[in-house]
Amino acid sequence: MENLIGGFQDILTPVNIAWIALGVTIGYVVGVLPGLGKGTAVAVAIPLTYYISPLAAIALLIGIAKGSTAGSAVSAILLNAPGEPSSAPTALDGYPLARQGKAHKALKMGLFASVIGDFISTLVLIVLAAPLAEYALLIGPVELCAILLFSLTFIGGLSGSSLSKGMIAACFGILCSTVGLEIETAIPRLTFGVLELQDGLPLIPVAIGMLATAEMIVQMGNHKSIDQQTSLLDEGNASREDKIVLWEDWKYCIPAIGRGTAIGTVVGILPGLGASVGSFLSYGATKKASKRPELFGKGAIEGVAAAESADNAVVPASLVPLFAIGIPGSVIAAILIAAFIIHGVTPGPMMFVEQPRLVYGIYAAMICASLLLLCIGYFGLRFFALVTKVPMRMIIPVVLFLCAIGAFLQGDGIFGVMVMLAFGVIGFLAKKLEFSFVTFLIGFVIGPSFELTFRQSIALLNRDITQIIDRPIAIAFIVLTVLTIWRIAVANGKKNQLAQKDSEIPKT
Amino acid sequence: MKNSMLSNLGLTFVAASFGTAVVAGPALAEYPDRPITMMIGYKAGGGTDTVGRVLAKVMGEDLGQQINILNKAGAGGGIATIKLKKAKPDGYTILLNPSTSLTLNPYLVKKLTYRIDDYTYAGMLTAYQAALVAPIDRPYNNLKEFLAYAKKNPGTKYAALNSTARMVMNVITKDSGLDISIVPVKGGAGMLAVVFGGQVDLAYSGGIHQQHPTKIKLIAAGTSSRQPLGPNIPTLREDGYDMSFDSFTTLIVPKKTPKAIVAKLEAALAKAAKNPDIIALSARVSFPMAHRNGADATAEMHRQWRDYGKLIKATGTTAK
Repeated sequence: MENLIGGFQDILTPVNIAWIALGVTIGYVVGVLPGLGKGTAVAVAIPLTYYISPLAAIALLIGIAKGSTAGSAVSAILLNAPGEPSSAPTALDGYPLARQGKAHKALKMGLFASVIGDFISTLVLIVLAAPLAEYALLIGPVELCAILLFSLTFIGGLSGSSLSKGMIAACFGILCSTVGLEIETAIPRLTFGVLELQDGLPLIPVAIGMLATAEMIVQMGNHKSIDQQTSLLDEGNASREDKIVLWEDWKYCIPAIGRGTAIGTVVGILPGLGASVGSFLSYGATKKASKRPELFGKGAIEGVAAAESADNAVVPASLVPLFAIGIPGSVIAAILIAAFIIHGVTPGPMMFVEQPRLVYGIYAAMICASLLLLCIGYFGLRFFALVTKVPMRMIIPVVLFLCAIGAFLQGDGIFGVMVMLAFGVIGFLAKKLEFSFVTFLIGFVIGPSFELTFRQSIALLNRDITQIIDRPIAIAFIVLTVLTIWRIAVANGKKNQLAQKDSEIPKT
Repeated sequence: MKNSMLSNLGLTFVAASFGTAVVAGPALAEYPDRPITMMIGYKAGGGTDTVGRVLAKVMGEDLGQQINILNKAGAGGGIATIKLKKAKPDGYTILLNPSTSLTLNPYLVKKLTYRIDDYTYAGMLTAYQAALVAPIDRPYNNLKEFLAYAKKNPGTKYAALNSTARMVMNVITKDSGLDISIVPVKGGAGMLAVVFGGQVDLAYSGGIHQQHPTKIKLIAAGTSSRQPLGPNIPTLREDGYDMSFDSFTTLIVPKKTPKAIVAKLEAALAKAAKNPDIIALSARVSFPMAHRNGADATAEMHRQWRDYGKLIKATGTTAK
């Protein structure tokens, strides 16, 4: 505690606060821009930090990471064009809310949920980093494999109306994720002789194509009706209730935020799962627990809260393995390692021995960043919400341009842009034919980790499935998976019965 | 009209920010008169990237021009190496890559058609410290003891992060009748996670293990000489296996780059090798300094190419 007070003394100088505020602002704006995500923002900013003190530099970068994670909700809600896969579930309910004229409400809830998730997860990092990291190591590849299997099934069960179409989309996602060098013997798979494909389809361009580019193509086709809707919204926009978060909304959202924060924190601590798994699991769990599941996908405010709280809780939690044992738990943590080392800090347990003052300074900076995020986001969203009033024909080219830049930066140049365009077309067809792009993305994101951990499990269990007896966590998740499948089957059976009854009624 | 202006603006923006566009430069004497692009064959965040970023800053200050980093990951540094071959030989596109991405990887991957003679070498900076490592609590302390342990405990596990790591274990277990399961892992971080968690008994490390001396111990040095952090631990060659995996961060330029420009880069690299920031960084990432000038670097590339060729032949490995 004394250390933390020392940390605050270091960080609460006008200069350092200005750097954090700058970081959060840059991050938030970059996050808002569709196509540009936190990975791009932090990597591009590293050279900017060479000339400032280590504490200010790391504070700036963490500010960017936090700001952009929260900012990506804005484009998801306003344009249905999430910048990153992890904010895709935010769009599922955020965009319908925006089209109902409740953009302000959705944006505010998204921001509050982001800040709460981020803040609590930061506290967990500060208080429990070391003991939690030791526990996380007990979760080996076999356990991770079982957890991924459960996540895949659980999230897959959410897919739209048709289970078979959802499964087709998920399998297609997994198929796309197998492109590249096979993990054990390094034999190229489905690369068709293209060298760039040796390392697989790049995640960010695929996600941008599927999420943002495809959506822009759809909106291009509807731009007249969307604009008409927008002008109608303007007239009926006066209602205060649609602009603020009411107590009634909080009632639905508080449990969702609590659940999302818990899920996001746990997912963040375990290396190899990632923010997408966190936000999708949280969205799914909230839908399952809800008393009004029929509202999900049509504008349930707690859907936004669930996705955003988990998405943001992952960021600080993914620093737990980095700080406590020196292993990066996420892409963002991997990029931060370089920044830490350049500024003379080797992440890991020795950091607490060698530079305790700096570590607590970073902790204090993270808390400040949470609070600044609330202020900057709150002012920012009034401004960004104006986007809904801009005619689509002006928004679409700007968004497509930003998407191309994002794909260029994250996908090795023009190759990334081509991948983005190809998946834009696939995404457009998927939307028109009502295949769930959500299950596709989850298949694509989880696919490689699932394959890797499955193969690791085979080796670790000596090709003998009975050895799983020694791993109770893995067994628990396999049982959960079976239960999930059973519940989906029962629910589908009921739905089919109802459908049959409905079709029988006209006959009688 | 508006549209074409917009796209022009976009192109200029992209070109200006990343310095990938090449404009015909005036007289050589002024080199460098605009920012230089240094490609790195790996994603941001790894050891090579970290060294490259600090090197770019130090060399840029010396040359009086900014050096921008462009991460071109893929095929173990291969994508960047191919890009460099096609780049204009004007000194404004340079590459920092491990030497093995040119001397070993082409033997393993068919699609990597470049050869060491397709490039000019401005020098080498730091050494990678490949090694076999184990969790600290294991009862063996060198390769001989490990093999005895593996004989008593069938199903001993070994984490392999690439095809080189796999090849090492195949050579060691050849004709020995040992039952060692190879667990595939992804990258240095994936390797650390299974070693820290005690999921495996042995692992191949590119050098990252040195940052965790309290949790990981050295079992055999993969380099041709013993390593600073484990002077008592024999190399693989001393243990009787005819192989070593030396690799160095190498500054590479296109073949036809003018001699005067290569000399300027070589001088800047030599100066950087004495820079305290670089030396401190090399200690932090545990890549020991191993500076070589252009001529020595070229000789080292040829030596590695010959040695890896012999090793590949001996192990019967084929390119895929």
